Amino acid sequence: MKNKKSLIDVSFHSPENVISDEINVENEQNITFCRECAASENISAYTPTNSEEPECLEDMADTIKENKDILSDDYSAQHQNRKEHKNGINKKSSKKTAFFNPHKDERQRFYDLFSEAPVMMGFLGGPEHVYEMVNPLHFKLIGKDDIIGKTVSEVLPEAIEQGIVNILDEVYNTGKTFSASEMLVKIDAEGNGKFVDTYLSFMFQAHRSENQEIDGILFFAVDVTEQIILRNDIEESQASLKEVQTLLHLSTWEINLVTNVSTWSDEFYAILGVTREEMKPSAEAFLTMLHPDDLEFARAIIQKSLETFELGTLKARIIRKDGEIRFFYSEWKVEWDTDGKPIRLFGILQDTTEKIRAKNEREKLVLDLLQRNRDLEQFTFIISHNLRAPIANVIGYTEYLQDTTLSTQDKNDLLDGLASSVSGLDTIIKDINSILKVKQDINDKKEIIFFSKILADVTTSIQNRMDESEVEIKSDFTQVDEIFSLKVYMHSIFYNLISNSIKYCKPDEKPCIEIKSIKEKEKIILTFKDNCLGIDLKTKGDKIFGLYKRFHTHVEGKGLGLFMVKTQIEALGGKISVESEVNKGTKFTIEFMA
Amino acid sequence: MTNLTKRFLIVDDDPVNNFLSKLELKKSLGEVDVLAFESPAVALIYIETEFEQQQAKEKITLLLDLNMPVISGWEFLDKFESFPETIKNQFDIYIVSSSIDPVDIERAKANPLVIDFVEKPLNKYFVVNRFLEESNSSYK
Repeated sequence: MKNKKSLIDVSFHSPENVISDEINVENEQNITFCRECAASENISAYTPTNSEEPECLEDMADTIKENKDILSDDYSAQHQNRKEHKNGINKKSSKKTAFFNPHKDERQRFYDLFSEAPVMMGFLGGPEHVYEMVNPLHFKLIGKDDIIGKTVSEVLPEAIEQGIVNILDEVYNTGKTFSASEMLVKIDAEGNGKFVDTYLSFMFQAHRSENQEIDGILFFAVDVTEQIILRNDIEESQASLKEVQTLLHLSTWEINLVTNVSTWSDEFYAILGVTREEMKPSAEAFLTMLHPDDLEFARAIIQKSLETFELGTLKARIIRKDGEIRFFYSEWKVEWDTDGKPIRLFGILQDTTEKIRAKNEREKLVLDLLQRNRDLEQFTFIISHNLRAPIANVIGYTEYLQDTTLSTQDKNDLLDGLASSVSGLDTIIKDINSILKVKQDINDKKEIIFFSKILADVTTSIQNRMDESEVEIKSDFTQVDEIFSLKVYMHSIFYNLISNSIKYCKPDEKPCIEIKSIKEKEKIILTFKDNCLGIDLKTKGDKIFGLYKRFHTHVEGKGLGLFMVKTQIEALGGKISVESEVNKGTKFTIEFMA
Repeated sequence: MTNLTKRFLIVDDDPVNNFLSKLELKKSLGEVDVLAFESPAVALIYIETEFEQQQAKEKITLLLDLNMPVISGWEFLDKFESFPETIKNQFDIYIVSSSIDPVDIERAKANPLVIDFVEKPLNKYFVVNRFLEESNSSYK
């Protein structure tokens, strides 16, 4: 009497969980295959249809009886007797090994193919998508191994939410193959509730039974997570490289020396201020962007590199189409092939405009600070020498004036001295004020000034002295007569230099002053030349523009004039230099930036 | 006890200072011989010509200003340095300056020709302490 007792899921762990059969065990003697997967069939040599045959049943019974552990690794033994039986060979025959080996090989190949395939494969049976057959890769993916006989929904509850089960239903119901490429699925592979992002390219294909009815789904899947991650990494690093290029204004470029094709990075275009559409990369195209003053040497350097294939550097300027000038620095080297042939010239090009501007700013700041420091030193000097001198005298006078025994005459003399010392003190304080004022004046408005007009003003203001000394002034402002400057300073410069010449003229010779302006590149050069006493520059050269420095004692002077001239010229960003010979004359040369 | 008149040479372009210094020296020391030069160049010529042959009986005190046009006190010292020892030995040099610049003070004290740096105006205590005591101890 046949009495169905139980349904045992026999899952052959052989060599891994790959093949499953369902066996109905009705009683110990009566075991029937109700289902057998194709792989099983091939191995066991019986199809489900003929598995009802007595030999088969006998085999199965033997198998179960003979094998102490049906789940042992050596699965081949389990089917061995059946195969021998089916092929009409007595299982006790000593020749059985001759038949056994080819089968074993075939099975082995099949398993190898299935289990070592680089794609996941499996079969999901019935409308509930029950795992019936899967290869090791799939176990590995989902991180579970007791899945045979369970539905997809049971094994992977997360698949429901992600629509996988719906897709399976669709395939099962319609028979239409579904394929997806690089689809993101989240799998709880560790079984700890944490979902791991996995990218799969897969295919669900309906499987039809002999009567053409859909009985399950074949699936094939490839885990492309690593490739995707790799690709994302590459994309990310490309994006960050671009970002770095943008941030540093550092671009890359190369010339393929075989094809003679140039490539520029996005930032290269950004530095040039052109779009990819506007300019096709080439050395010539790049040269068209260069500042005309830099073009020649830049071309020579690039040409040399293309001929000698030595590494090179270039610092130059480009002019963008909106007229903006940008500084850049480029450096490159050559890649050689194994035959020692140059194949590629590649390098970087960095926009250094901000750097250069910052450097210039810094240099200007340093110069300013140095100037301020000199001013302070000058100020200390004035305090300690020039301001102290009359104060010392005042102290001296007041000390004597305290003497009650002084005669009226002495007292008056002392008071006169005191008064003159105090007025000397006042003069110095006024001088200091005018010196310090120079630093502030520079913020005043500059204007267009005509040298000829300044000269006329100055000569008018000192007409008396000019007449007295019978001075002759020859001026030539034909090259350049105007300058953008501060009128008061220009007046002071003309005034001091002219009156100095008159003051220090030779007693036996009428003073003659030649004033000339020259335009040279971006400079305006102004010269004052006289035929007067001159100064011995060998011994006094370093002091000529010093404060309260005097070189002649026969006439009144404070030693302030040339100091003021120099201070004012420097405040205007100019330079003054002097040539002189004793008893021949003096020539002052003043340079202004035009 | 001989009462030799103490001799002073003042080299300073500022006549006011020279006037005051003379006054101070006379007031504090009594009978003194003070000669003032507003031009250092003239003073140098005087020293070179007057003291080449003749030997002063007593050292002459030279009060030298620093900040002078044409020839500064430093340049004066450079020139003086080149004189023969016989001339140099006859002088005690003091720098008398209105400068309160420590650089000047250090430089003056570092110069072997200079005995001391004295701040202007020439002050009574200094004159009395330095010159009166000295003449008393030497010539009493």
